[in-house]
Amino acid sequence: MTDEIRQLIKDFGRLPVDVDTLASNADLYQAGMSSHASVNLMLAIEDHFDVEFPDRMLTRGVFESVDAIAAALAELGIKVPV
Amino acid sequence: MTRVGPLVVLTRLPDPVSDAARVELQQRGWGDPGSRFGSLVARALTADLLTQWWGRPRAALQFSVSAAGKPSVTDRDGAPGPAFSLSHSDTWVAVAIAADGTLGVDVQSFTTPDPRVIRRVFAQSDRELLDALAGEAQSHEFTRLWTIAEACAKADGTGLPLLLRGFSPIGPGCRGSWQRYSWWSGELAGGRWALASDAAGGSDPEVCELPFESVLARTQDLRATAAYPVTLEESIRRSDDAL
Repeated sequence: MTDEIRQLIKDFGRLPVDVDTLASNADLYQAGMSSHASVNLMLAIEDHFDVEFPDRMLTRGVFESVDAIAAALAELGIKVPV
Repeated sequence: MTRVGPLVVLTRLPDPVSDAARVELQQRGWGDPGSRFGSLVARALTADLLTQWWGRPRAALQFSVSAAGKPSVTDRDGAPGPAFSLSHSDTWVAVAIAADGTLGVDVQSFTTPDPRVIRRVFAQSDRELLDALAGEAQSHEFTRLWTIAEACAKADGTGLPLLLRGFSPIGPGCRGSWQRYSWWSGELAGGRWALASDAAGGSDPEVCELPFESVLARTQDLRATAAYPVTLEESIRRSDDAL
């Protein structure tokens, strides 16, 4: 399912580089993701996995890498092999 | 340096980044800037402006980041420095500094809004402003509202939770107030900037657009300090200003 996360990043993260060239722990903000794009991505993840991130998870760190997103989803009960 | 209101400095990034600029940046130890170019320029310009504004040498600037990701600066004795905020888009870099209070700046290229973002971030009256528009006009208005919202969230230091949990109305125009913050908004080639500040008096900011070549020249001596860019990189890496 990390493929699903990568596809959402491709569709909503507006990265200037191909996400498939990034390691799963690569910093997406360092790779050029804007805060506006991160909000788009966060809302797309909520829709796709049918979850809602609680306030305590609305931090920059939760969306900073594929691994971080997978870990956050796992915490919400969505199993994403990493 | 005596100033009444905040200072906002804007610079437009070259597109594409020229070979000469790449060589110059590599010579300063930045490596190949790649997609981090805007971020690096924003940080270098921030350090330069803080040095000039505050009258402290670059090596004396000690950066830290709050738990919510808001950066601040002190000198080696722990004396608090000016409030500052930085932002970059694919085309523009913005840095804001103020002697007192707290502030947030944002810059963003015009963008087509995602209906989910409109629904989650903006109050009903602002959503109605957007719903009455279409196409380019809607994109421009969305970018105006977004940059103001983000500038206020940065100034407030609460970041994403504030943006995503019931943002109260912003309203139309290029100047206004939101909660305890005054905000200003301006148009750029291909985008908009916004500043939010709670400084006493709400004085208008001085807005200055510098040619990129001038920014490079101003940051010429930054590599002279052994700590650069590691200290600034590490201290601001997590935040880029709270968001």
